[in-house]
Amino acid sequence: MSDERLDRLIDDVAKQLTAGQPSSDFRARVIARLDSQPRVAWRPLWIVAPLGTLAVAVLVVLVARPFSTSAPQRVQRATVDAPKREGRVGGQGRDRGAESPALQRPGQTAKAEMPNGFGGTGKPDTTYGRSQPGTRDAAAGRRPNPSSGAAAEIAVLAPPPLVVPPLDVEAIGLDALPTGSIAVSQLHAITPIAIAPLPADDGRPSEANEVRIDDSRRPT
Amino acid sequence: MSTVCVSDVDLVARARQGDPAAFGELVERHRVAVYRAALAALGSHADAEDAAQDAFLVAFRRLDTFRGDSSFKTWLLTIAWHQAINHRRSLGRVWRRMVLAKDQEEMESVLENVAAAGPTPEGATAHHQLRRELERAIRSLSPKLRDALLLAQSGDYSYDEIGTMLRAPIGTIKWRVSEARRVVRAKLQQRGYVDVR
Repeated sequence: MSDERLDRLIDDVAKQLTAGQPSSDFRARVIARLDSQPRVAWRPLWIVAPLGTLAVAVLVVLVARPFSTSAPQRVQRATVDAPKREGRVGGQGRDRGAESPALQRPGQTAKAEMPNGFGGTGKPDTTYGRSQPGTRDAAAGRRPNPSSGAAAEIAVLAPPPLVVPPLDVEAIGLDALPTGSIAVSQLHAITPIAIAPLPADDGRPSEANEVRIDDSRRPT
Repeated sequence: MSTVCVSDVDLVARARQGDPAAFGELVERHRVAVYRAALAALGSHADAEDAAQDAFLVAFRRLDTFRGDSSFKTWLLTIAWHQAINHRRSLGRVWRRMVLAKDQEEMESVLENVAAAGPTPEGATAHHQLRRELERAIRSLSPKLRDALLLAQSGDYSYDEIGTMLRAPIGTIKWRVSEARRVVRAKLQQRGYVDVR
């Protein structure tokens, strides 16, 4: 069998391998799948972006909340503040103005009195979180920071500030540098070099050919 | 509105604006070409049908990315070919074992019809055997040679379109087709079909 005929046979078989028609309802199937497919990928970005931001914000709040009201911290706070509360229950109770602001920080005082947002009377304390007279917030005329309670809790747990003793270091004194003038020896004067004039055609030296070197222009 | 005389580009523009009939017309126009490209890659009618449908769905979702640098058919065929190749990769060994066997049955039924049309029973039988060997030799080609040969001989695509689909220059595609024929001839000669007339 010749190669040409065999090639024709090969092409014929190859054509048969790809011969065929899609089903008669192919178009209807494609359209049906298009209709049934949710076009999530085309959802506008201006919807997705705020939703994502909101989800992240909610997540941050949920994660941060256990840290601010965790049980060990509440127990520790109650232990630390117990003597103060005992002193106040029998006396002035909620009179925070009697306390010395120099001994306690404003946020710490508020937290110490009402670990759960309740005062000594057991009623909800509506003054929770308000800035005290004379504090920095009140002095600056700012609104009280709602997160100051958490900051106070952190401040309670903070280690005492480090006191660094002053270092005894002697001052470094610099001696004055000698400022004597630098003596430069004078250069020897250079004697002018006399060059003999070139002989002219007539045998007499020409004054135009005489060359003199001006030593005054030389750098010393 | 009639879509008979409307160009593909106009249909694409209308489909982008949400006209389902326009995209339906595009499906109708190119379904055979897309289907046969998938069939060339997959060798199975059922898989080719699925891959062709997937190709149209992907094309619909990516209509906004069609810039008109090439014809819509070429752009669509490129998507269809990629879909079919992904399908072929996912099938893997299963395709080699099952789909080939299934296609073997389909092919035999086709070849029996061809053989029945022969001049004499003996000649028809010989012709039938030869075609079976040819089909087997073509299927055993490397994917590059086989794809080029099948797409070129399907009659539905130009070399330019095949080159775009296979991401190869036209010269390379022509060489692959020629090389595919040569390899098939060599395989037939090894099996003793040189003298068959």
